[in-house]
Amino acid sequence: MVSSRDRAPGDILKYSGMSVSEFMKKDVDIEDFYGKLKNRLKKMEKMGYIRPVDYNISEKGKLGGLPFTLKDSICSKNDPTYAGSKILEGYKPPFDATVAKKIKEAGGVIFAKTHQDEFAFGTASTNCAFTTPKNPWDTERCCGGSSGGAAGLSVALDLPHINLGESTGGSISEPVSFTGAVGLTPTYGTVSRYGLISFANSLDKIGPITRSVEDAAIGLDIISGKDPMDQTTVDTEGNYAKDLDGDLKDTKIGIPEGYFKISGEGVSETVKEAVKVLEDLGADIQKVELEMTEAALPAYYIIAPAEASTNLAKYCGMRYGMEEDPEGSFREYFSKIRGKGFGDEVKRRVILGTYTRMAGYRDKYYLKALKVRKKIINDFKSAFKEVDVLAAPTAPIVAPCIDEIEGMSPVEQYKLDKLTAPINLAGMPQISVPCGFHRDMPVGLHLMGDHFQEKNIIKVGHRYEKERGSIKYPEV
Amino acid sequence: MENEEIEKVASMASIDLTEEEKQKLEGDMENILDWFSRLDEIDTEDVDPAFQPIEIKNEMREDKVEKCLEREKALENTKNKEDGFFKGPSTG
Amino acid sequence: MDENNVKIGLETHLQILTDSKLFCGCPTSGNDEPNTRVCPTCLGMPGARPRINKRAIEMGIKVAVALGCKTPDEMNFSRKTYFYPDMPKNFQITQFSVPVGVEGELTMELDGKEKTVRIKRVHIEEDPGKLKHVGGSVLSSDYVLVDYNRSGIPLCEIVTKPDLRSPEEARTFLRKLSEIFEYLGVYDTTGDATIRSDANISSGGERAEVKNITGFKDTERALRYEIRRQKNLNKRGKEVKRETRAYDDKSGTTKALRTKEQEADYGYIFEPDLTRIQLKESWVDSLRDEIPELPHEKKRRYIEEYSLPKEIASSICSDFAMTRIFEDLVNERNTELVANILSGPVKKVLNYNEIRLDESQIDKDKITKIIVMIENGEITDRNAEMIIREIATEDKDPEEIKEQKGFGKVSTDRINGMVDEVLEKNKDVVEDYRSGKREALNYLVGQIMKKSQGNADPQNTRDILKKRIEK
Ligand SMILES: [Mg+2]
Ligand SMILES: [Zn+2]
Repeated sequence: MVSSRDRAPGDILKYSGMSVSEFMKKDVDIEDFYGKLKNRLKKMEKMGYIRPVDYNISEKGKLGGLPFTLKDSICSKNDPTYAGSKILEGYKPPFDATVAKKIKEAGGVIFAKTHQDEFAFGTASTNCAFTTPKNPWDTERCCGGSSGGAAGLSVALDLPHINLGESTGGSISEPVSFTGAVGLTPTYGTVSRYGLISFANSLDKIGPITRSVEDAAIGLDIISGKDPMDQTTVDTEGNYAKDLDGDLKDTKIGIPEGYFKISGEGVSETVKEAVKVLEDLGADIQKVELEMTEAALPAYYIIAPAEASTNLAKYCGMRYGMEEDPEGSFREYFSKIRGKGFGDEVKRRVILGTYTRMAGYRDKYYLKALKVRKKIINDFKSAFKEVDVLAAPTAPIVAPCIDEIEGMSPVEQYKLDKLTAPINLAGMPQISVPCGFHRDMPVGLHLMGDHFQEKNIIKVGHRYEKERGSIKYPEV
Repeated sequence: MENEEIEKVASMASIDLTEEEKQKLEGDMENILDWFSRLDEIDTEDVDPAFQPIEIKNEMREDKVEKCLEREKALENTKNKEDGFFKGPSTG
Repeated sequence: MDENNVKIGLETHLQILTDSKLFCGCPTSGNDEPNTRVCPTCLGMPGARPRINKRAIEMGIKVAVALGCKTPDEMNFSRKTYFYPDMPKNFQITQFSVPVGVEGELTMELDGKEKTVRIKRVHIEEDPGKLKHVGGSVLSSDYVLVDYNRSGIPLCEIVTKPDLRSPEEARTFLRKLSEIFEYLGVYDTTGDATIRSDANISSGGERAEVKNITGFKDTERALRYEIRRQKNLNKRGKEVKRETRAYDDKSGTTKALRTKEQEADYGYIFEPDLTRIQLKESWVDSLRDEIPELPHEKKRRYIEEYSLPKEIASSICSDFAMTRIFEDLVNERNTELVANILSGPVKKVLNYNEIRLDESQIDKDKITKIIVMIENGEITDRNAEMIIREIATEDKDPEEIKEQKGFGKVSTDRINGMVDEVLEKNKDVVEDYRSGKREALNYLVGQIMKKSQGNADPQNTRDILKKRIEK
C-alpha cells in the first residue's frame, strides 16, 4: 500500500490512475485516450481478461466516451456474447441488454466482453471454455469467479473504465477481493436483468467492478432503475454517487463473528484491522449473531442449479450457438449437442439442478431450500434492525493458485462462496473494498446492507477507502 | 446415487454423458446430496418459500403491440434455416 | 358400443383473445409469413425475459369465474421443462401450484337432460411454435421446420374431471366450452384459433392419454378410435397399458408414445422472472361484473320471458351473434317468427356451410327484410329458406333475390287453376281421400307446391283442395 497516487511522468501514462469522475470532468483527448487503451488490449487479452469487440469512439453524452466492459453473459447488440460457453460460441445477440443500452445512451463505449466461468458456474474463473484469467498480483493465481475477467481487468488496466460484472452467489464480491478491486452488488431488482444471460433468475444481479467505491457508485447510477423489460425491477432513488462524504458517527456496524471464524487467520486478522479503522472513524461496532450462515450455502447450491438447469435447457443446437445438421430424433440431437457443448461443471450443475426439482425430490430439496432462503432473509432483516451495515471478510482465503483450484472437489470449490452466498440469497446489497494484504495477496472487506440501503455501504466503503489511501497496483 | 438414476436425470436433462462422466458424477452427486441433507435439520414449518429475495408483486404489462424482430435478424445466428423457417431435428 | 364404463377427462386449450402475446409485445395475428411475428422473448433468446400481459390474466380470471371456479388470493407462474423443437426455451411458462381457478363446473344439455361436468382447474399458459414435418409424419419426418409466430400466444387450459361418458359427450362439452369463451369475448371463433385437447380415456381398466387432438370432430373421432382399441384389447383378454399416445389426424388412429415408466417429469419450478399476482377481491369483482349473461342463463331467460320452446332457445343461444340479432328484433317483430327463422332455416344453412353467424354474410338488416316479407305475405317459409341460402356466403339483398327468383305469393285464382289440373290427373288419389285416407291430401298439396315451384302458400292450397274434394 502506498500513500499517494503515483503518476508516472510522461505522455504515455497521463491517464494512468485517473478515476472515472476525473475522466468525466476533465477535457480528455478522446482519440489519444483510445489510442492508449487500444495499445493495452492485446496484453489484457493475453492475461485472459477480455475479448475485445468492435466499437466506435464517441465523445457524446454525460459519460463523454467513458470505456466500459461487460461480463460475457451480458448481451450487447451484434457483439459476440458467449457467457463463457462453447455452446454459445459465435453468438451475436440481435439486441442490447438494458444496461448496455443505458451505457450507450449516456455516451459510454463498450470495448470488450470480460471472461467468466461458463454460465457463471464457478468461484475461480477456471471453468471458462475459452481462457482462465490470471491474477494481476501473481499470475499463478486465479482471479476468482465468476466475474474473474472483470475483477482482473479493473486492476490490470490502468486507465479509467467501468466493468459490469454479475453476481448470483458472490460472483462480484469474491473475485474483486481476490484481485484488490472494488465490486458493488446492488439489491436484487435494482438493475435490469434484461439481456443478461441467466444463471439463476431469482438471484442474478448486475453490478459495477472498478478501482474505487466512488467509481462503482457512478457505475450503479448509470445502470440502475426500473425497467419495463424486466418485471422484477423496482423503483429506486438512484443518486448513489451523490454526497459520498460523511462521517461514521451515527453508523452502526455489525460484526458477524461466525464469518471471521470461518475465514483463515491471516484474512480474519486483516479484516479485523479494517474494522478497527472504522471504529476509530467513529462507527459504533457491535457483535451480531447470524444463525443461518451454515445453511445458506447448501440452500444456494439447490436453488441456483435448479433455476440454472431450466435456463440452460434452451441451448440445444437450434436457432443459435453450437449446431450441426439436425439429423435424427430431437432427443438424440439435443443430447449430443448438449453433451459436446457444455463443460464439466455445467453438466454437474445441470444434473444436480434437474435432480433437485424432480417429482420425488422437489419438496425435499427445491421447496425446502426456498423456505430456508426465507429464514435467511429474516435472519438478516433482524440483524439490520440493530445495525446499518455488516462488515466481514469477503472471502475466507486469498486468491488460490489455479492448479490448487483444479485439485479441489466440487464441494470444496463451492465453499469459497461460503461468506457471500448468504447475503446473495437474501438479495441484499454488498460492496467489497480491498483492505490490506495477506501473503502479498489482496484481502477484501465486505460491507453488507439491508435491501435498498446501498447508500449505507457506499458511505462506509468510501470513508474507509479515504482513510486507507490509494493502492499501488501491480504493473501488468 | 445409482448409475441408473444418473442416466434417468441425464435423459431428463437431455445431455449425453460418457461412462467416465457418469461415474465421476455419481461420486460428486453422492457428496453434494449428503451435504444438502444438513438442511433437513432446519425447521421450516410455517415458513413460506421465498420466490424472490424481495417482495415484488403484480407487475404486469398493458396489452400493447410492440415492434418485432426482423426475420433476417431472427434467423441470422443459425445455418439451420429454410424458407424463413428454423430447421430442427425430427420429433420421431 | 357399450360405453358404460367409459370415463373421459379432457385438458382443453383455447386461445384467449389479446392484441399482443402473453409474454412479449409481438402481435397475436397479422403477417402469416413464418417467423415474422417474433422477438427475442418468444424466440427464447439468451437474456430475453417474459413480461406478462395484464389483459390475458384478466381473460383467464373471467373464464375461471364463468366456470364457477374458486380463484386464489394470489397466484404464480411456473416453468414446465421438457424438450421439443417447437419450444423455444425448452420449458413452457404455465401455472402449476396455484392456477387462476379450481373446482368449477360446466352444465350442458344432453338428449334433453342436464349434465354437469366438474372442472378441476383453469390455468393460463403460453403456446409453443408450429411445426412442419418434412419428409414424413410426426413420428417419421427427416427434419422439422419451425415457425415461432404462434410461440407465446396466450392459452387458457381447462382440465375436467373424468366425468364425460362418450365421445359425443366430449364433443358437446367442447362446443359448450367454446360457446362460453365466445360469450366472454375472450375467444375469436372467426380466426384461425383452434380448440386443442389432450384426453384421458379409460374403458374400465387403466387409462391412456391421447395427446394433441385439434377441433370438435377430431376429438370425437380420436375418442371413438381409442375406446374401440381399448375394448378390443379387453375382448382379447389383454390389459390396457397406462401410456401416452399420439393422435394422428390423417389416419384417425392413436399411436403409443411412451409408457407410464417413461412418463415425462416436468421438474416444475416457480418462474423467477415473473412476480406473483394478487387477485384482489375488487379486481375479480369488477371482472365478474363484465361477464355477460352466459348461454345457459340466456336460454333460461328466453324460455321464461319469450315462451320459446327449449330446443329453439338452446339453438339460438349456441351462437352468440344469433342471440344479438334475436334480442335486437324480438321487440320489433313477431317473437315466434324471429325465433323460428333463426333457429330453423338460418341455423340449417349455417350448419350446412359449417360456419357461424358472424362468419356469414347474414346480418340483422337482411333478416329483418326477410321477416317483413313473410309478415306481409310476400314470400313463403320455403322462399325464405332459399333466400337465406343465397345470402349465407355472399353479400346479396334479400329483396332483389325475391324479385329475381319471381318469389311472391301465387294468387288464389292461380292456385284454383292448378288445383283443377291436379285433381283431373289424380282421380285415384282423390278417391283414396274420399274413402278415408286422409294423408292422400298431403300428396295433392305436394303436387301443387311442385307446380308453383314452392311459391303457393301451403295452408291456403290445403284449404282450397279440401273444399273442392269434399264438395
Ligand atoms: Mg397445457
Ligand atoms: Zn415476441
